[in-house]
Amino acid sequence: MAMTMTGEYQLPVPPQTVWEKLNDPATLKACIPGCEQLDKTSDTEFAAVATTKIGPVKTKFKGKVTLSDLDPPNGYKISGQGDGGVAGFAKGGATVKLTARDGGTLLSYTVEAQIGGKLAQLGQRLINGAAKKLADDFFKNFAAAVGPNSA
Amino acid sequence: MAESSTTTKIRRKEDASLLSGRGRYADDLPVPVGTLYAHVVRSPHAHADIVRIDARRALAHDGVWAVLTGEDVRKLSDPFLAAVKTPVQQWSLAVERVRYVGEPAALVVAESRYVAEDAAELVEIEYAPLPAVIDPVAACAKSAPLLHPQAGTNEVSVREFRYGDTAAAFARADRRIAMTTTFPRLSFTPIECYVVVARHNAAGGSYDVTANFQGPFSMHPVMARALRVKGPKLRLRIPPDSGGSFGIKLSVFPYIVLMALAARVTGRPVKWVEDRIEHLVAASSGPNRVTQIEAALTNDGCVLALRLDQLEDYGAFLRAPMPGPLYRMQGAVTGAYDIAHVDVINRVVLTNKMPASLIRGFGGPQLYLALERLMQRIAVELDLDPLEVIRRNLIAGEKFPYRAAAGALYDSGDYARAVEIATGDGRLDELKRRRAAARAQGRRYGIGFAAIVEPAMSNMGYLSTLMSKEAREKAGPKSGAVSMATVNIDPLGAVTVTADVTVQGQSHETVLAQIVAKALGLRPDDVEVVLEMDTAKDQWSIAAGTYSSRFASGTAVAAHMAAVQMREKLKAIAAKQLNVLPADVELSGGKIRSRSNPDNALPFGRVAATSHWSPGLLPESMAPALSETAAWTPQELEPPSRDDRINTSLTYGFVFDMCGVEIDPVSYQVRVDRYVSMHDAGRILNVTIAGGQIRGSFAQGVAAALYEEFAYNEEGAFLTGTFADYLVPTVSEIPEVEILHYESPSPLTPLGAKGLAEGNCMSTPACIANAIADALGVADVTLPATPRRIHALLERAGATGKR
Amino acid sequence: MKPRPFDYVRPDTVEEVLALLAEHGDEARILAGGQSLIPMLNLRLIEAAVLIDISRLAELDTIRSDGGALEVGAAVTQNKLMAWPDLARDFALLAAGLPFVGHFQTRNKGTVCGSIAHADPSSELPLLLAMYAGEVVLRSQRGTRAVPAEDFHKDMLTTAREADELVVTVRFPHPSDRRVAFREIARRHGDFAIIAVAAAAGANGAVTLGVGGMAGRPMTRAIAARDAASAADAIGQWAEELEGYDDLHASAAMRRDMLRKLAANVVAEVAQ
Repeated sequence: MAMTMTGEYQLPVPPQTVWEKLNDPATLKACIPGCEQLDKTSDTEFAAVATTKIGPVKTKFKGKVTLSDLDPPNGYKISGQGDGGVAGFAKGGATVKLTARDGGTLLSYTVEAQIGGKLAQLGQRLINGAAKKLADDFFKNFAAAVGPNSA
Repeated sequence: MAESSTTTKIRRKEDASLLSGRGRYADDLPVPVGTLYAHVVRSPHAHADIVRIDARRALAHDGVWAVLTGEDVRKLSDPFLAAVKTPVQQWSLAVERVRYVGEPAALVVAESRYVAEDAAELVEIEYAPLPAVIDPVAACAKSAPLLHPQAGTNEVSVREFRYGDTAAAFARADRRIAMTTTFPRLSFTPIECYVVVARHNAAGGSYDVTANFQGPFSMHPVMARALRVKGPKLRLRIPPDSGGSFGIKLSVFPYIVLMALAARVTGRPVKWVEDRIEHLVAASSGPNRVTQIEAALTNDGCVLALRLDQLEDYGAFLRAPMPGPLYRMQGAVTGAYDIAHVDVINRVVLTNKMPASLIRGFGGPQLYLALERLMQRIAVELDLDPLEVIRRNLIAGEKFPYRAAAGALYDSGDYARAVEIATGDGRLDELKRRRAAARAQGRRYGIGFAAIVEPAMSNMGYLSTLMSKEAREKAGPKSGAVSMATVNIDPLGAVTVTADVTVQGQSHETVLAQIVAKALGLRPDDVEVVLEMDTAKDQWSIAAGTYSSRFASGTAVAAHMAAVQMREKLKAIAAKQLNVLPADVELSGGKIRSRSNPDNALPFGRVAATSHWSPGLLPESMAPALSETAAWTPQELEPPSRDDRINTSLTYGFVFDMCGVEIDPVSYQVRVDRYVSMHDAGRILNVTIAGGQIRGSFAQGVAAALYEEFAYNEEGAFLTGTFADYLVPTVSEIPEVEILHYESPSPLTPLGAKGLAEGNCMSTPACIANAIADALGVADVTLPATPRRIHALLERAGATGKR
Repeated sequence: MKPRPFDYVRPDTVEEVLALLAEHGDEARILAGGQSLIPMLNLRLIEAAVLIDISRLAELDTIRSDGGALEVGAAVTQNKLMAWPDLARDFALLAAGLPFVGHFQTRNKGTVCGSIAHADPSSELPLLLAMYAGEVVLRSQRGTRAVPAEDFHKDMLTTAREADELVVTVRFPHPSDRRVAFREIARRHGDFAIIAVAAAAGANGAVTLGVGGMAGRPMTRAIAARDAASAADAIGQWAEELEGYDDLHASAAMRRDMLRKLAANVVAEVAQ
């Protein structure tokens, strides 16, 4: 199910700092919900393993994370695709924009997520909420990682 | 057969076993020792190349006998024949590419279903996803992703038809009114899913398969060809009971071939029972259709001519005998209306969805949604009463038998009279009062009508209309529809009937017993009906099976004919024994007697015994043995004419529906307040069973109008994979329907009966859509009219009452 | 649609259940009515190394009402609670909401605690527990604790239960409310609610409103219902805050719209 979610965070550090964090594998790994492995395979590509957990429903996705449309320090697109085996697959991307504001940075994002296979077929009723939560969690984690006082 | 004994209430013979759990369904039948169980590994992608399949881990799993892939299937079998010649190849497993979510990509065969499913998780399939196309209109664009690159297009069949002089009629018309309708994708999910048990006889190179296949048996040669054997080497048996079909169980055929191959590979019998999740994602559905329809009109609402552009979406493959739904209504495309000129464009498009096929009503719901929505729209735009627009265009009673513009021969009817009775006995005035009262309180209430022609017993030649006349001439004519039934009498006088239908719950057993008993002067309980099919031993033709309402105008007729043949034979035998002329003999009350001297009588069984025990006493030149088979094909089912006119079906019934609906202001649910359905199905064979068929068809019509839809997102993910999302209405959701009958016996069949089991699948979606349009004052009503869609409609109109 | 292999255990005592949970933790699943668990196992959406069947544990199959609360044990089916003689008199909101839980047939198997532990965002029982400000009693070998409903339900299918804990009972405190109402919109009778709304009015006229199906868990709020207009304003504001979510059957906007209308109806019903 393709879904679009948007949101924004005001961060207390300048865009350049946010940009660096957005490109830092350790930060990304800490922020991607359930990320167990994020190995850099090129400047803009990572091999990733993440286990998403919606209550008792756990799915391990293996795939890659790609950074594109790089426009330092104004933003980029971070995309991921994962294969969950018989559970299905997930693809998604977030367009992230950074704007200097009030001495810090306004981070705004638009996430598009797509889930296919068995999860989409069986979990239709809950899947949008689950995807929204994962997107929210990523940016919430990121905001926390960049500045503890950001909201 | 105009007498009352066939129309009196007769209890169903089937009920005792079905209601007490003694039905014999496919999954109940015993299987041979050593039977293995199969599980299908399905594609999670709507469109992807298969890069690699690695089954080694699965094969190493304890209890696994085999894993089949597309490569195996390609080696062991041939592609399925299709009705439309295209470069597209289709097999029982995906070869090189998957084209819809749920497409079978591999088959695991193991000692139990549990083990097979465990091992299925170990089959590694690497896919390279491709862009998918879901929308039928988008799929026709030049830039659309191609499902079958070798075909060069997704629009695999386009045919234009001109009946009469439509252009001239449009030129002289006062007005033109056009609209576009889209009929959704849905299925009528039977309770019982597919079941196949396949055996391979290595010594004879033959296959023996039991499956709950429903026909048409024109698919038997398709399966045999795919298995690379001659017809008799594929013995197909159909169990005595089936948990519903509604057209769906035609599409078990690829699995019959797949399991036969699995049996051959493993050397063991292989059983597969489809589960509900598989059924919803990949079994079958009706095709969705986009129709552009335009009428040329006089100012007083008379339709002079029609133009239709019908774009039908068959999903990933066009399987035989598709595109049936697009052509089944071809001769009757003008519906119940006297319209002399019509142009039709029929287009078939393929998209990344499960392959579509026949479901109850096939083709009718799609056509009538367009035609009947158009009639309502004409009324709105010309400011006329919708019922008046229908009345002005109905075919007049004196015109029957009526040859419709596109070739259908409507056998009998008096549509205006039926409408008059329906609006009177159905209390249209009261319905209007209810609407006025509701509207006075600010409630959203609307009234809808639908007037449709219900065809029955398809002409086997109708699909050839899709070929050009040159191609038809080259291929040779196709026409007719053979029905067969056999009546046997044993040495003690017990009567048995077999016939070319598959049982799906239509009460064939009851009606056949009733027809044969009547001809032989017996009680229905004296007649045993055996309907499990065996292609190796039973009489069948390519038309055999249960579909297109062929029973009442086809098989029932054949049974009647066989019984009459038997009666005449018994009369001749008895005449000799009673010492009277055969013309003086009658069969009644279990006796065979002299009409002029009723005391001169013999028990039925005694006469029957003579032919068995003393064939020498039979009248001269009479063949011994009491076994009579009749085959019936009506002359009226001619091949398409040179100008593409085609009598698509044998009989044409009439349905007129009217209803009142109200939209709930909080839940946005459409509630059917009252529904009246008038049926002219010729002579009613059994009024109880007719009522059951109409109610069932009505429930599915309501389902199509308000609940059921196979939903895909733009990327092709399947969103209605469980009964939590694919909403089959239950008894709580189905409104009451008031059923009325008007009988115009068909002159073309000895019983005078027409089909009636599909009518409401065709009329009810259109009738409810018209009522919703009336309630909301809108032109576009998308089915199913779910609360979400109604809410969006009202929100666009600023009418949700949002503060 | 067959589950992966698992071990099945049917202990005779709660202590044995707790020992098994301590041993297997996350790998174990409690089977009570099985109305959600079994389909999820069969669909292979979840896994269990061990299934611990508590459905026949007599000590959990009890309904007790003391002065403070109604205590419903983990083996009590939804139909058993519905048939409890004093339910309509003492727990009118439970009596009003329970008929919306699934179907008669599923209520015969499905348990009250199981539905609460499963934490589906549009289930009625979590909403009812929240409306009563009830609590969930959890036991493990480490001890017993009672968790308030609002802390127990964290998000969709997510609760405060630790892997070694068993939900032994849920407690519905005796309400002081005078009037209650429960309404729900579902596509078909017995379906998961698109939204479910409950209202309870106390002696002082304060109205508590609860909603399921708008967020990852049931939400409640006190509404000042001095007059219809101010109640409508408060409900409207709440609807915007909750946002709602899209699924096949309803958009977020439609959920908000339904909440506004349905909540206004139930508030009016209880605030007479």
